[in-house]
Amino acid sequence: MGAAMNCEETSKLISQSLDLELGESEKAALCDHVAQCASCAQQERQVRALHAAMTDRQTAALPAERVEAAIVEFRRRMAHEQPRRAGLTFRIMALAAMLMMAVGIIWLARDLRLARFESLKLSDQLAQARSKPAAAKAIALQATIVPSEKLIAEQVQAFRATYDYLDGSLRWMVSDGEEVQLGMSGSPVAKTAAAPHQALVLNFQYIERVNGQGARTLSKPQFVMISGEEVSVRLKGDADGDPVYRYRVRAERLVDGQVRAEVNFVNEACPSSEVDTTLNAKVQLVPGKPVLVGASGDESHRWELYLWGVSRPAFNGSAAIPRGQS
Amino acid sequence: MDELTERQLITRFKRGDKAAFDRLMTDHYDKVYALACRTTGAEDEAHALAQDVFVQAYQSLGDFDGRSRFATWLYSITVHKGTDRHRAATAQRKLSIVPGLPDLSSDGRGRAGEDPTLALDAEELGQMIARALTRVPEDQRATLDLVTHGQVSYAEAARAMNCSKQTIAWRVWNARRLLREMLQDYLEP
Repeated sequence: MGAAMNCEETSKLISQSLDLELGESEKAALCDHVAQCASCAQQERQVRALHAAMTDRQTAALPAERVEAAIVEFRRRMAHEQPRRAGLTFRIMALAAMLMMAVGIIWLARDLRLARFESLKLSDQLAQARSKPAAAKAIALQATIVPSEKLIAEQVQAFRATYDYLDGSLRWMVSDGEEVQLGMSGSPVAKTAAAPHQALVLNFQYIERVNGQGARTLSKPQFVMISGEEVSVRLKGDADGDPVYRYRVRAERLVDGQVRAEVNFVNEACPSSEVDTTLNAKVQLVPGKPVLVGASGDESHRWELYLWGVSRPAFNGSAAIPRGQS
Repeated sequence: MDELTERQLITRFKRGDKAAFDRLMTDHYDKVYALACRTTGAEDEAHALAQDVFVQAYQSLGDFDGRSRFATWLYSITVHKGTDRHRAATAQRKLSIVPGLPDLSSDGRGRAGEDPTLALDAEELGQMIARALTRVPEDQRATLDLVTHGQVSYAEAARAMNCSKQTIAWRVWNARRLLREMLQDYLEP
């Protein structure tokens, strides 16, 4: 990394090192570069001096009397304030909304009972399949994923079963490898005109590359859905569960056999208007060819989102994320 | 104070126990005040800012969802309110020169006639930084304040400032880059 790192990247790492935000490999890369680059060494000295001047001015702890005086002043100021509480009207409305939600949930729960059963059963199967990769033909190693035809077929089968049971109300099914979720978009009573055999499968893989050291899969949602439907699911953005992303995906099968997918993702912990969270990708459904639909970060720390799809129930082939530098 | 106790205090306050807030304020006032000092550069203003911060905390604690540390939440209020004050002060300075406040020339490198080669001690450099910071874009200055003086991680700062970790890292980096450029003549080569 040291030789490959340029001075702008080094500048960023110098800043992050002051805030103790670097991992060991990044620290080592920074040291290597600074040792060889006089300009960056000077920059590091100067930025450290700035940082020291800022942090050296830490104020000594306030005497207890001053804190107490501040609290007395605060109490005087707030003498007539009450902690903000919801008004009566709002509370009544909230209660009514909760009651309506409860009724809705009970109604949905009745219809989804079997669907949940199917989901749990499928989840079990997936867990077993993952523990026996040879049997399941599923291998996930570093950045390479070979989706199992069997797993996809099982999901589609379960999708169809629950779709039929719910008389066409089921809108989507998603798996992140170990967990299967069922859901509906729009009104639960609205039925789609699409037939379940028109289901298509979209695979996502969100990966993280650090200092060109291969890649780590953060999440790999797999949607079973019907063309034209919007699907939505919350997924963890990294191994620690933070941030959490909400993916909203609308995909439709085109006449030429391709799938056009529109992907929206929002970091729920940090929704930000500074990041373009909408991606549009027209995906060629060629087995084994994931499409890079979005990337962020820089060469030292990069996040990439790949997408590929399968539009026919006869699922053939595999997909592999390219290795190495992107 | 351990986290559980802090949470209990917050819960009690939400249930109407006003005294619980005194304990929270006692535990956090000096840190908020210290950050306010950095943000405003003056003790009187810092005191007023810290009071404002706790007033808002008192009024908004019902909305505190516990996703970040209570301290981080307070620091984010401090930098936001500090930014508001800074904005107001900047507008005022456009109308009049504040006595005793040495202004930087348009290129940000000090007044004419000043010898930039004179070595500055840490305190003087700190004062120069405080002045230079007024020329750094608000969001970057506030983020640098939060990370440097609030001593919160990028992840915590991201939650507090409602943006991504990468944005925090970029803001901090750029604020330091601007400071270094502005104060280049005052820094040891």
